Amino acid sequence: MSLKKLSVFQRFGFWISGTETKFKWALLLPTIILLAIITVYPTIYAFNLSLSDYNLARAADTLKGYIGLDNFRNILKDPTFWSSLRTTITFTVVVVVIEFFLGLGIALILQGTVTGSRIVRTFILLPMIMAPIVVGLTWTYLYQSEFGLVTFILRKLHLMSYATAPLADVTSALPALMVVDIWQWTPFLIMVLLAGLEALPTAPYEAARIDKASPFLVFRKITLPLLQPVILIVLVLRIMDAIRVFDIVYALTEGGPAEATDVLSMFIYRNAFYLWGIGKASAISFILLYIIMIVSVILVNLLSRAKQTV
Amino acid sequence: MEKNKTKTIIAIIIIGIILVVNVMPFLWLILTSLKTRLDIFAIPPKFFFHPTAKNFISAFTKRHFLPMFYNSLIISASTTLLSLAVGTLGAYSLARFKLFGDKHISFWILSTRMFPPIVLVIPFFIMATRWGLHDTRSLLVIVYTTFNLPFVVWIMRSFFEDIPSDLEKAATVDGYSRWDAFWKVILPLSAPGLVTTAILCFIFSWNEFLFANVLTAAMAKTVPVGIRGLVTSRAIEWGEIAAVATLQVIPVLAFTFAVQKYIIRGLTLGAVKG
Repeated sequence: MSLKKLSVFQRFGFWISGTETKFKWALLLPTIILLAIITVYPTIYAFNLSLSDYNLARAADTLKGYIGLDNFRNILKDPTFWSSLRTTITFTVVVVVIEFFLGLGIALILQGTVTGSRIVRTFILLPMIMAPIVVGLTWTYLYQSEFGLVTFILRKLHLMSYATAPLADVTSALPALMVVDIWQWTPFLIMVLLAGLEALPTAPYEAARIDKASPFLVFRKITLPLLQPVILIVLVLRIMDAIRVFDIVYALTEGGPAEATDVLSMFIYRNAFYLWGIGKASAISFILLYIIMIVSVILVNLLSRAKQTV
Repeated sequence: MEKNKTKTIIAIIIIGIILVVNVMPFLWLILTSLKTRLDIFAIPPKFFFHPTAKNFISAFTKRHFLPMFYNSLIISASTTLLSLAVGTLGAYSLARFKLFGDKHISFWILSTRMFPPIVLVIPFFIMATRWGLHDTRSLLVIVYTTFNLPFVVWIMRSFFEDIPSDLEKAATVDGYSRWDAFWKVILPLSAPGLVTTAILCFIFSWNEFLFANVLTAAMAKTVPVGIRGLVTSRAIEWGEIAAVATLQVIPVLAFTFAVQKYIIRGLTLGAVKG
């Protein structure tokens, strides 16, 4: 077969198949280049912005000026930054803990029993595949003060007075937001942990049955250690998503009332696109990025240690 | 035996509760989409009413949702194709070859997935405006592709790793080039993985809101942005929101039904072989 008869596509195939090294990099490079262009360059660009006084609300000629670390200094002195950091941490911790225990509990009950037909499973997955903005708007509707179904039920059960509504009150707005996140993501934890439980080896359990170990002991000494990698993976994914939650906050409260639900992402968005303070918003972005980096390094270390022990 | 029976009953009750809790808000959304203005604002909330298609009709005639559905479709489909084309090759490379530095590369690829989108939205907004790409479909395709890439790489890698590498060896012994061995032997075998990944990529792009909201204005506006646009300072068009939201969720629901067996594996980046 002469090379002339080959199509361009096949010739490309022959060319990259030369050596293993060449083949590997020819396949991998497009991914690396695309990712680098879209993450590395904008990050450097954003860092530049964070050192400037860039504000789109001002006249074009005074748009920007290099101000060094002033943005960072001002943010660290800003009480609304600290309160939004606090809100983000509270939201993340509460939401992930509740979702995890709910998810694990339900997964343990469902383990070994029928998890249902395709249609049942699809509906269990429904909340997490809906667009977060649609989830947010749906719950905004359910929480409406006059005609919202949830508000109506809460009032009928005397859990909420007629004077207020879930999203209108400073004390109930954040919990109401958490409920939405828990609604959307607990199914995810149930399904993942269930998949993890069902993939566990059976031998240790048979040994435990012969030894007549109590269910609690079996859970603590066998299930929990074996499930640890799966548990860590879902926790990593949920913690990451909870720290940067945006869509449902934007749909439900836009950070209000009185900044009660002002998570960091919302705080950045508000500074950038309501107040047009691009420089300041970029600086907050970098603080959020550092937080996420530190958290992810800790979590990834935990993860690799867990993988080694299993 | 008796114990198992009780467990099954408890399990069925729990599944029932989960279904009611999960489906109720969605069902309420559908009911709302079929209500007249008067029924929507009724106190107490109405479960029985005369259904109307008015909200659906006005969403398309008055609110011009047809071009938005078109945009969403084109953007999501192009993103899916592009990220699969690029990401599958990268995934195969990482799954099959052990060469210098690939642990760092895979970790870096994964770490871009952890990147908070809000950090990138500001530079994208400014660069897009400066380069005249603001409000174009291509811009969203590029942005979404790079967000889907780490996902495609990690998922497809776990699918490729499940295929024994002896198959390529056999193919190369038969005279195939490495590329042909991948293209003609391995890729067809990973078809279920490809389909699942494609569907999940499509869903991510179809549902995305933050970037679409900031990077589009009129021409390239997607459905999620359009839905949020029905919330104005004057009034919130609940009927139309419900109608469009229902239509927006239906394709996702259909896709999930098709691949729910693999969806968990996909969403945990292949870490849990569910």
